[in-house]
Amino acid sequence: MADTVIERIALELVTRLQKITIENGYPFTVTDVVRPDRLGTSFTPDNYLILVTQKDSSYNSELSHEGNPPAIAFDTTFEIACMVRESDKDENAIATTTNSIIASAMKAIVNGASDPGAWYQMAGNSIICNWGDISPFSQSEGNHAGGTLNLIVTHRQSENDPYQVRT
Amino acid sequence: MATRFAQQFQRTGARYLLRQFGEPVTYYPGLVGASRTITAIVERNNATIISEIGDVVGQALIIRVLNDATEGIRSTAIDCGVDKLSVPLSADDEPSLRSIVKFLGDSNGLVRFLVQ
Repeated sequence: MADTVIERIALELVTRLQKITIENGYPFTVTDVVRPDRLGTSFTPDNYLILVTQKDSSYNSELSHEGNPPAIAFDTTFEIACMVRESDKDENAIATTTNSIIASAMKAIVNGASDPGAWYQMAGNSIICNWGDISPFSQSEGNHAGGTLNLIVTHRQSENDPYQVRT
Repeated sequence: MATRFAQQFQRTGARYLLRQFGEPVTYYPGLVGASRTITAIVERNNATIISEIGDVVGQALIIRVLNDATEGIRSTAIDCGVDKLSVPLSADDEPSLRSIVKFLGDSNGLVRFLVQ
């Protein structure tokens, strides 16, 4: 069975982030791009690991419209957590690496599209994408550091068919 | 300086505990040295919340090894940024390469750390 509209968007996001490699002109190669599983067995915290987590989908009344069937729009937030775990002996500012990985993620989401001029359409599955907050994180004990980039994707689908994109 | 009890326990009790409750794991030092198979007591806590990356669920294992450069890991040699351990997430499972994320302590000949 085909994927739902939101699932296709998530997969497109992961595909673009996987293009962060030295061969593609980025300053580093991502260790992995992961959508976490229920028990967290699919990943281990690592340097340059990216976790893509799907958050709430908020109903967007302004972009929903009448029809037969009606079209309903949502704003879905994707949290893109970029992990930085360097050696205990590394004395470089953690923000330097965080800035680099966040910038690379933003660049890959735009330039990793088959048509970078229409990157916000997520391969024809969304109306628009907007960048959200960028939040650095670090646990008090220093176990993990990095930054979270939020991407808000506005997408529209048939009221009775979440698999069908609506214009 | 280690107490007399700590020194005696390292020579006797720690090794006995590892023989009784230990299992083989492979340690991968991130910066220097080759990987080696050592004996570890693995406390499997399964899931934990990694709150700083959006309340994502992750694995958590507490590992105890001998505080020794060949039979275990020297506490001063652990680098929680880059060292890894190949360990089964559940008993009798296939080993999985996981990061050592936090040094928890060293006492009486045993080094304790968190693996996720």
